[in-house]
Formats: sequence, structure tokens, C-alpha cells
Amino acid sequence: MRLPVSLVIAVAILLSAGSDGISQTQIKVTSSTFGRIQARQIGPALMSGRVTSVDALQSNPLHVYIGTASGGLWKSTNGGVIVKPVFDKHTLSIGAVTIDQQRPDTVWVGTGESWTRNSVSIGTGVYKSTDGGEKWKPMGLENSERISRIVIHPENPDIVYVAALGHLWGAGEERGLFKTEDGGNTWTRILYVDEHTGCSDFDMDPENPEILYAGMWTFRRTAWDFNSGGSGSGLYKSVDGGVSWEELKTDLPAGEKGRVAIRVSPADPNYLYTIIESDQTALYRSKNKGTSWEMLNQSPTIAERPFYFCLIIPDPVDTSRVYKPGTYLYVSEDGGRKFRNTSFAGGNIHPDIHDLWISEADNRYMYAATDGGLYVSNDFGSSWRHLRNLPVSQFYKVSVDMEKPYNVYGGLQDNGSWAGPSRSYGGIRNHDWQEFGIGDGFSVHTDPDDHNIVYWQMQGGLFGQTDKRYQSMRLIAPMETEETGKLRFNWDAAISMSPTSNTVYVGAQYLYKSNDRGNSWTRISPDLTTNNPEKQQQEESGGLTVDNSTAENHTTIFCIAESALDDKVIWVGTDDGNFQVTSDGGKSWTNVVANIPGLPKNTWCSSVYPGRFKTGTAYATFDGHRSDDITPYVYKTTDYGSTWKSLASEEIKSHCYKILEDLVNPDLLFLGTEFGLYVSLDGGGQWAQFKNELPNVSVMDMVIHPREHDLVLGTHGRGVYIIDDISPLRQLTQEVLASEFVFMEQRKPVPMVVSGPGWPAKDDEFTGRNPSMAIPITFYMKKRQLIGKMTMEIFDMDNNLITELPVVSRKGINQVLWAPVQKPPRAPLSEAVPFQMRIAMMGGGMAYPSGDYRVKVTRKEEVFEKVFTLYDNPDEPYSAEDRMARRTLQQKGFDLMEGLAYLDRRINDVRRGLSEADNLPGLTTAMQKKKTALQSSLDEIRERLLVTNYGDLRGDARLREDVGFLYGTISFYEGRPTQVQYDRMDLLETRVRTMEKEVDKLLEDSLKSIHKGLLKSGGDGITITSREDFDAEK
Amino acid sequence: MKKNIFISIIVAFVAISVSSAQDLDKILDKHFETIGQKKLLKVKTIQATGKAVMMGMDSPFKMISKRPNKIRVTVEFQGAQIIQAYDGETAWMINPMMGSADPIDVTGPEADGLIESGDLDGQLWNYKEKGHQLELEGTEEVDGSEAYVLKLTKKNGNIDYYYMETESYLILKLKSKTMMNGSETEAEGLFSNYQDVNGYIMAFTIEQKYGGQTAMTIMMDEVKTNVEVDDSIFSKPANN
Repeated sequence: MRLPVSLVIAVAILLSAGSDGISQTQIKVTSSTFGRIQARQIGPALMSGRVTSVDALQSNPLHVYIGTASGGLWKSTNGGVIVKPVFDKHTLSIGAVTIDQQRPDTVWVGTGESWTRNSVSIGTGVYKSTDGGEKWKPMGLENSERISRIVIHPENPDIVYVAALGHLWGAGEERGLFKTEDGGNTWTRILYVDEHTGCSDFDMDPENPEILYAGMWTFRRTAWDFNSGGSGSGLYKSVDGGVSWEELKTDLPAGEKGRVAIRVSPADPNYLYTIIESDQTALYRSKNKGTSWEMLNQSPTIAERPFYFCLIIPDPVDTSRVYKPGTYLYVSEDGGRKFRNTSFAGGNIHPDIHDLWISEADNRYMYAATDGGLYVSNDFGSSWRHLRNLPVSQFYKVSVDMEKPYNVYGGLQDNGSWAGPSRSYGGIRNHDWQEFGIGDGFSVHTDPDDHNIVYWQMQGGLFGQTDKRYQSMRLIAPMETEETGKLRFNWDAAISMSPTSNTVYVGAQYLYKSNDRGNSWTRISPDLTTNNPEKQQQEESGGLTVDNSTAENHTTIFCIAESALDDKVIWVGTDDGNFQVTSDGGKSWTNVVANIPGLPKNTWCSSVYPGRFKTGTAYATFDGHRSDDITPYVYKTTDYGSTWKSLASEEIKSHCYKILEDLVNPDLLFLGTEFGLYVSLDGGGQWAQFKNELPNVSVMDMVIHPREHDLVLGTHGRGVYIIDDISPLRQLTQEVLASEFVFMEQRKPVPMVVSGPGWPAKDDEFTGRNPSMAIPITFYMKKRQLIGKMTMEIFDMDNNLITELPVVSRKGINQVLWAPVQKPPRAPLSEAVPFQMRIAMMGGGMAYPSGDYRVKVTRKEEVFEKVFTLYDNPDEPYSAEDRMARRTLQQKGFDLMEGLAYLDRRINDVRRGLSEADNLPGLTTAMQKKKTALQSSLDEIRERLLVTNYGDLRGDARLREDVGFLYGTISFYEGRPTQVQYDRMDLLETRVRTMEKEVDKLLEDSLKSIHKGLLKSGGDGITITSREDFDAEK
Repeated sequence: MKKNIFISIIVAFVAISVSSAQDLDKILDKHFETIGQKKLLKVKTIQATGKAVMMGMDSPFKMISKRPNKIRVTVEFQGAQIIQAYDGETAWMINPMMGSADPIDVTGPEADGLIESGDLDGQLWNYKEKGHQLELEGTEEVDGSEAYVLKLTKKNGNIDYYYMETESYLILKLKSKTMMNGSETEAEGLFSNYQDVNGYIMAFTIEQKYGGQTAMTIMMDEVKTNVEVDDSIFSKPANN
């Protein structure tokens, strides 16, 4: 029986939706609608990502929390050998984490990183856990945006101080130093300067918790400028728990100040260290709790990039030892006068250190938080062990190639440009990732005609090209001419591949096009930006400490997209809020941004996606967070930008980075935001967050793999996620959503199978999961079925039941996995499992042949059926004949093993019958003798049939083991078996038949008379299982 | 500008405070009433047979438990029989896959799990007498259903989180956190196919997950109560 799938769906809909068929009101789509469609993280963790804050238990330094810039909070109870994320339901940007050292289950987290680089994420306040990170409660200060430090009163856990930096891109009053005396229920702002000044660092006198020190910092970032310093900056002290404050000025710089770091020496609270950014940034030390100060060091080691590194960490034991985290980790052993790099015995640590934790019990043991993950040292920082299991890489952009399996490409903050496979032997490991180019990484693409050609870039528009085979490095960026003047490239400069050819576009303020892989460029636009000279003063950016890394480059092109329907139609969005379109390949351009309703002027265009179904259609997102505006701006036009419709809805919680239209269903849209991925099933009418395994991570870029229908996400904080096969999402129409039960179609098999061994990753290394090799059987249910029986059965087309599968249903999309393999052959039973039988087990059951099968779901009284097709892996090099040849020989081995199992059953039936008759009173001596002779003959045969000694490394092999081994090795390989295997099968078949005959003869000779004799003596005789009964036991 | 975030945080707060006000005892009463705990209390033995599905492979299993605390689980795996049992004093197993058919003692969290399974009434029943603590932590969404979160801190310090559907008062999910040598492991069981067994409702399908991935699904075919069972089957046999 074979029903057309469409008919099945139609019937199921009718059955379930009742007489009206389609419900009148729109079905609300929620996160649970997406059901079992899950994201899987593939890493990479090799280079990890920025760690901002680390705290460990002084009583057990292996118990550690790791706060990351945008990848969440992680916990380890074994010093980082195994780590796990514990904060994924909340905001992933962590500014500060503090354990209550007296009550280790109490942990405070301040969200929002305080190292205020251009690409920094945002926070949502303070959180507290009282159960070791299992559950977190928001404790307020939601509008503080970023938190630099949290300190808990050593005697009263209800007293907690929070240093709030406040908004980076705007003014705001929720900043300064906050104190709670009731465990976080209420907060008092105990130190405040103005709406531009936050608390950059804070510390408490460990012997007298009433004595407090706070560093205040005036700062502001815009899209085109950073300013550190202002009248609000300064160092403050309180001796009454924060009731009153005095600014410390004696011996300290008098003029304008910038970021301030302040720490008390845990070894001697009279010792204070402060770094004060000024026109001569310096380290100062006080030996009298701040009454007087001595300037110790003004070198670049102390003064470098205060917004990123203004931190000083005194050793907890030795007052003469003090650490300065910076580009590298520096240490002074003379109290702060001279510094050197801590590393000498190896010392390979990723640059850019943001936090350092030191054990009081053993000050050689320390954790360092870097731009490339967390490091552990047990020798004062001389050498370091890297955590290879922290997948917090920060992607800016992501792309895919068409290899099998396909690779994912992308670039990372401070960590270069990379490619890694979407699946790999034994899982996707750190060593599967390959690096290209140098510098920070952003967009990475391959040439569609030659995947060995990789385009990458480093910051500020330095586009490069590498041939994968040789790791060659060729700079291909367009350069300024007399005609163009200075070119302006964004930090994350725009590059785009044509969707239909190998044309490459890059954007400065002009748009450039190359048809020869970057050897030459044609400028195809005038300046498409506002060209506002006030936003082009980057050489002055930084404030007190000039910092012109290209991070503030502005009035540049940020997005470029050629229409897949017409290569003359190109859309360009700029970082200063222009939105330009050409329909003649760049001869003429129209700035259509003024047509977009509700969009504030000069809002950064974060993405553009030309519609795939109608020329003139485009989607765009705008991101105002650099103007302190996190409103989602999402728009669609269908008329080349003349009119626009907003697609934003209240479900979307923050600013948006990327919009994508599905390749098949134009109503299916994906939206990447600062706080996770959103999906719309109705062209942007309503949105729901996609949560399954995907945290609230910043989704900066995404792409749909056109062959495999996977959605590939580049996240800024948690590496790459893949949502395998989004085709069920494409089918979530209103009709389906209203249904009680509907089967869903899924993709034809793609080159899924990564078989073969992969050297398994150990505890301390991240492994990305491969997609399941089983066949997902997908259906949608409006509601979970919890009470009453629900089963799924698979039949072949001759109506033979093949298997019954467990169904644990849920609301939304369900998937039941079917591994299409038969049960393995039954083998003679023994308590011994020697090596050969393990090989047989690894071979498993025979795969079901490709073709049609029927799935039947029974839910209480209802029945739903569907026919689906099982395919051979299209990319394996075996012909149908070879597969059949293997199957035939495999079947022979299978039958031989089952034959042996039956032979063993017969032997055991007789042996049991004989031994049960041992004490029969009426047994004659002659009969006893016959019985014993048969017993020992059977025992002897059985000794040749199978290994019965325990232990798998005895090297024993009998007939069972020989057949099992051969069967297993044939099963490993899907192609034609070797001649050796054929010959061996013939030999073993002969041996099995011979043994069968031997047993037949033995039983024929003596069993009949023994059986009679036993009956005569009052016994039960001997019953042998028939082959029919034996086969029926299956 | 950040209005949306604040709203969601406020909503989260409200949800927590509302659910905390619910009466834990009432919820438990409803739960025991729904599953027919009264009937269960009268049951002397339970025998469940079915299969454990692991990576597409079926392994027949049989579980017998007998009051007050005895249990025996047998799983057939590729022609070898794995036995785990507890007789009220000793937890033991026979696992030929580990190279020996001799019984060995089971200790640590594995033993704890086995011993807990031997308690027919479940850990929530009379949790105080068992030395456990139970808290209602609020509600949470589990796969599209709203569920009460019940935190059971067991006598041995390990923690189980029960997720009980607010609509049906049936357990949807059990998350177990086990401490061993100071390190934490986490396992999840998802319950489904609740069916009646002589007036008592139990889940016939249990999906076991580790690290978010399905490791094994147990499907029960038949559950019998008050089957005569000899005590000797729970006792650790002598070495071969």
C-alpha cells in the first residue's frame, strides 16, 4: 500500500482541524513551535574568545567561574578540565562575576562587559544565584548596561557593592557605585558624579570593610569616535561604608583624568595600587591607605589602551609582587617600579589580558582571562595551559562552500579568519579548523569556481586572498588613486560575492567590483556615504590616550548585496545610514533611506538581503546601538526602495544585525539580533525566538546552505551553530500550525555520513556534534500527547513490520530518529564476549535497502500514515551492483550466525533435558551410560562452537567467533567484499554445515532411544525447539 | 529604548513570585491523586518488560521491583545479559561486556540510582521521612508545556528537579544532578505515554538524555503488578 504524501497530509489536516479546516484566528507562533529542530554548535574552541572576568574559590581554586565578553558564564569544578555554561537563559555579555567566598553556592554576576571596545555587547543588570549557578534571579540595575566589578561584604552577604560603568554610547544615570544591604532587593547609588561617568573599578579594605575605594571614569563612544577622560574621572575613598566620599588628590595628577584602576593589596591593606589615565598615565602606590602616593611607573606597559587594559592586580601574598594585565601579562617584583613579561618557560599565552585571579593558598596558581580564552598557570605565569573547551569564539561574518561535507568560513575578533567542516570524523574537533590570513578576522569567502581560493580580510579593509593548498597570502585590497583620494574602509569592511558568478564586490566609501578575483577593481559608484567630515577624525579618537586602530572608521560602506535575479541590481547600506540601490549595475544610484518610515537619521545599516523571488524586493536591518538606541529596525521593500514596511514586532528584544529570507518559502524569515535568533513564518508579521540549544547569543550573520538546507549561524560569542535541515520550518503554514497531527517532508539525504573512526576528544577539549546519521521522521503536533499510548511503526512496502520506535512527543515539530538497520543476527549465547564478537557487534545489523517504507503513527484511536523514501548515500562510490554483492554476502554471514545460534539452541535443549534427568530414579545403567556419552559429545562439540571462557583478551576463537568476525568486517564496508572474504565465507559455511551434520548424526544415533528411556523412567524426555519456533521468537 | 528588555525582566519576576505562592502540598496532593498513588501503595511487586533503544538498537529489558526496596533489572545486549540488582542491602551487577560474568558490587551514584529505583512509591512520596527536602521553585516551560519546578534535595545531597505539567500534574521531565568527587554530572529523563496499570498511571516511555543528547529510550510493553517474586533473585549470587 502506498499513499500519496500530499493526500495523507490533507486527510490528517481535515481529521484534526474539524469541519472549518482552517482556523479563523492566526495561530500564535512561539519558541516551542519549532519543537525538536535544534541548533548544534560546531565550535571552534581552538582559539576560544574574549574572557572578561574570572573568579574562583580561595578554599578550592579548582572551583571556578569564567565570565566571557559575549559567550556567557561558564563553571568548572575541576579547574577547567570540564566546563559548562550556566547562564545561557540570560544575557551572555559578562562584566563581572563574584563568588561569595564564605557561601560558595552564592554567586553574583554583573552583565555587560566593561572593556569598552567598539564591538562590545551590552548587559541587562545584575543577577544572583544561591544554588551554585543552577538558577539565576535578576536583581535589578537593568539599565546599567555594563558592570566592572562586584564585591561582597566579607561578614554580611546581604551587603554587596556593584560598580556600574553605565551606557557606553549615551548618557545615563544608572551608573556609579551601588550598594545593597538586603541581598539585592533594593539598591542605593552611593557614589555618582554625572551621567557621563561610571565606576571603572572598586575595592574594599579586607580588614575593614567600611573602607572603600572607587575609580570613576568619564567616557563615551560613538560610531566614529571614542573619548576617554573628562572632568568626572577620579579616585575616591570612603571610610564609612560609602556614606561619604573624599576624592584622593594628594600626589595624584591634577588635570584631566581618564579610566582609573584601584586595588588594595590583600597581603597588606595599607598598600594600594592605582593606575590613573591622564596625559601621563602612571601607576601609583600608597603605603598608608591612600593618604599619600608615590608614582612608580609611567611606561607604555602601564599606559597602554586604558579602555581595554586599565587594571592592576596585587599579589595576595607578597606586597612587592604586582601584576599588570595588558597586551601581555606583566609582573613587577619590586612593588611596581619595574615590570617584565611573566612568561619565560614557554609562556605562550594569547595577548590581551583582561582579568587575573591568583590563589591565596598558592600564589603560583592563577587564571588569566584573555582575548583568546582562559589560561591556567601554576608557576607565577611563566607557562600556561589553555582551556581548549571554551567555544566562545566571536564571529563577525559567516559563509559556506559547496564541498562535501561543506565548510563554514568566518572571521573572529582578535582571532583571525577560519574554516571548519560542518561534520567530521568523530565530531568536529579543534584540529579540524584551519586559519587563513592575519589580524582580526571578519568576512571570509571562497571563490564559487575554486574553493581553494579564499578571500579574507583584516581590520580596516585590508582584503587578502589565500590559496588553501599553499597558505599563500596576497593583498588584493583596492588602493587610493589621485582621483579617489583617501579610501575609507570600515573596521569590518564590506565584501560580497555575487550569488550567481565569481564577481567580488568590496566597499570603501565607493563600491568596487572585480571580475578577476581581486587582481583589478572597477569603481562602480560615487561616494555612497554622507561623507560627513566631522565623522572622519579618527586620528584624534581615544580621548586622553589616542587609539586609532581603524575601529572607529566611519562614513563607509557596510553592506553590499547583488540581486540573485538580476546582477545589475545592487543594494548598498552604509554605516552612517545611507541606503543606496542601482538597477543598472552602478551607472546610477538612488539613496532611498528617506523612504524608510520610523528610521532615525544616520542609523547604521547592518544588513541587506535582496529577495530571491521578485526583483525589486529587499530586506534590510538597521542597528542604532552605537547611538544608544537598541530598537529593532527591520524593513522590507518590494519596489526598489520607494516604499518600505516595518517588519519589527514587540517580540524582538534588541537591535538587529542580519535578516535572511528563506530560499524556498518567502514567508520564512530569519533575524539575527543581539539577543538571539528570531524566526517569522509569515513574512515578518510575527516573530518568535528560536531557542533550541541556541542561547541568547549575538547572531551577527547567517546563511542558508543551498544544497543541504541548513541554516548556518555566525555568532559573536559562541562560534558557529548549524540548524540542520530547515525544511520542516518551511512547511509551518497556518493550516499546519492549526493541526493536531501532520507529517512533514524533509530533505533528501545529503552527503551526511561521516563514518570511520575519529580519535575521540578527551574531557578537556571541545567537540562539535555531527548531525545524527539516523533518519528523522518529522511531524507537527499542536499539543503534546502525554496520556495514552502513542506509537510509531515502520513497515516495508509488503506490510512487514520492521520496527517500533519510541515517541516522546512535544508541542510543535517532533522528530523520531530511525536508524534503518535490521536487528543483528542472533548468536549462540555465552557469557563470554571475545574480541571477534565485539567486531561482529560493531558491524551491527544489516542496513535496510534504499526504497520506500511506510510509517504509521497510532495515537490512541487515531492512525496517521505516510510513505517515505530511504536513499543510498549519493556520494559514496559504490555501484548498486557492488552494494548488492555486499548485501548478499552479508546476508550469508547473517544466516550462518543464526544457523549457529539454532544449532547451539538444539544442543542446549538436549543438554538441559539430559541434565534434568540426572536424578531420575528409574534410569537404567545402560541408559545412564548412553546419556553420559551423548552429554560429553555435545559438550565437546559446543567447545568447538563457541568460546565460553570469560574475558575478551584470551585470544580464543571458535566457529561462532570466526563467523562473527567475518560478518563484522563485511559490514564495515558498503562496497563489494574482497575475494578473501568470499573464500573465507565458503570455508566457514562448510565448517558450519559439517558441524550441523555432526550434531544431526549424533542426535539421530542416540537421541530417540534416550528420549524413550527417559520417558519410561518417569522423566519429561527431551524437547528440541523447532526451527519454526526459533525463527518465530524474533 | 530598552523598554522591551525591562518588560521581559518584569514578567520573569512576576512569574516567579506568582508561582512561589502556590502551595507545594496542594500540588503534590494533586499529583498523587492524578497518578493513583493510593493504588500504588497497595502494590507489592511491579514487573515491567520492554525494550531499551540505544542508537537504533533494541535491547530487551525486564525490571522487577518488590517492596520494601528490592529491584532487579536485566538487559539483553547482543547475546549477553547484563544484570543490576539491589536486595535491600547490597547493590550488585553482572556485566559480561566488562569482561567477567562474576557479580560485582555497585557503589557510588550508580548504586544510589538503583536503590532509588527500588522505591516503588517514588522519591516525592513521603519525601520528608526519606530525609529529603522539597521546594517549589516556580514554573518553567518544558517543550511547550508549562511545568512546576520541584527541587528535591536528597538525603545524600544530590539534587533532582521534577518538572510537573501544570495542566495534568504529571511529571514531564526529571533532571538529576549528581556530585561525585566534587564534580557534577547531569542527566535528564523525559516521560511520556502515561498509561493505566490497574488504576495507577505510569509513563511507558522514558527518554534518557546526557548533555542534551538522547542516550537511550526505554519503551515498556507490559507492566504487571503483584506478580509472585522470590526474594532470592535480588541477592548477589556467588562467583562462578
